[in-house]
Amino acid sequence: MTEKPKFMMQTYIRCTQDALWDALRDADAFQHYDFLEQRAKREGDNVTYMMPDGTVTLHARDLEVVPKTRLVTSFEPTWAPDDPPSRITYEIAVEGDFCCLTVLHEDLTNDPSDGTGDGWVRSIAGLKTWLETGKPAHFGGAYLMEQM
Amino acid sequence: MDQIFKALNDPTRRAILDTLRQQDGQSLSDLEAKLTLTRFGVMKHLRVLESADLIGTRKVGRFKYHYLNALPMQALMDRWVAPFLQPQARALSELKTNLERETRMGKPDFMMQIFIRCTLDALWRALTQADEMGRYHFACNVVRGNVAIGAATAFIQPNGDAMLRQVTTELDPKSRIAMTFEPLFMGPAAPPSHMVYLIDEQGETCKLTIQHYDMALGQDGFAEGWARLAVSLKTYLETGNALKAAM
Repeated sequence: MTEKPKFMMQTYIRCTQDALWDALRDADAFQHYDFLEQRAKREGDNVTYMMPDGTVTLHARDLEVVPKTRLVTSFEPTWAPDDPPSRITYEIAVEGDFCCLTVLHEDLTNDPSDGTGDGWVRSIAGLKTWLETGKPAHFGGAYLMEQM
Repeated sequence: MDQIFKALNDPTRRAILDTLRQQDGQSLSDLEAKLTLTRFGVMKHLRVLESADLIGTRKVGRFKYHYLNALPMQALMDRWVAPFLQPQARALSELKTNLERETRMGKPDFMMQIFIRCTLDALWRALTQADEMGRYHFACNVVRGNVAIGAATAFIQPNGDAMLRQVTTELDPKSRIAMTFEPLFMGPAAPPSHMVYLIDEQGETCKLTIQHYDMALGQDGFAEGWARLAVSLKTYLETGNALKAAM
């Protein structure tokens, strides 16, 4: 069995388990921490992500939902419509007054060092800042746009 | 000179020399008592040291006393040690180290990045001032020694033991710090490695990159330590409170 590329990261966030779970599940929360300032819209099990100008970038479908602990979704980017979907797993563990969040992105068809990993690092940093300070955080949004 | 190296290439003979350095002119019985060796064993080692001219003897009545002879050692120092301490030699050795390190830059054993909403000055202070490090380090409340070239920074656990020692080897203000990484928490024999902090200011954000080089087998756990350190640093700089591990 050949192993497909994957990306894993862990972070620790000072917040309640409920707040972290809601931030991951609530489509409206996404715009507060995504690095590209994207928005998300939920319809049933499906979430659609779009750039501030409305361009759709990504679809994600819930595959496994264990409230407050584990969330598995598909990852179907519009920029690679012919690729098989990859898979994201979020796991939450409570540790004292903070939470440990593990993000696993599996079944990738690309090497995560080509930008996928960077996107995660930026968005999870934004998620942490937003939950801990209450202020929206887009690590790289405007800055990256200027560079393009 | 071969005889000197051969004579020094044995822990018991080095112990005899140390004993004589502490108290010169000891008899065979004195040495026998201090080294917990048989009389025959001590005599055997003394013969090797004597033939290398590292000790001299003097007979007084029934007793023979042993004295250090420092001259051959000094000659050895002059020939084999001092020249390598010359500035030119040292500069070359540093150049070699730096070039080798640059080559390794291509592929650290561990790398992570974190984005922090803070000023470059605040991040630089947090990475270089010992009192700041103590405030956000996940396992240590006390850190001794500010970051400066050639200086050691020690991370002290609540029980008083140092868990980590880092000596700064390179420092580019507000952009790069290279340090050794001596993981004392793994015991005195744990192999040292080295690491680099890279800072990149991006608008109102700083990107901090942590690279760890030459990690030994079985040191994968360092990754979790770095993750805890980095996120605690981020929380500290953004909210004023760190994320200390439950202790």
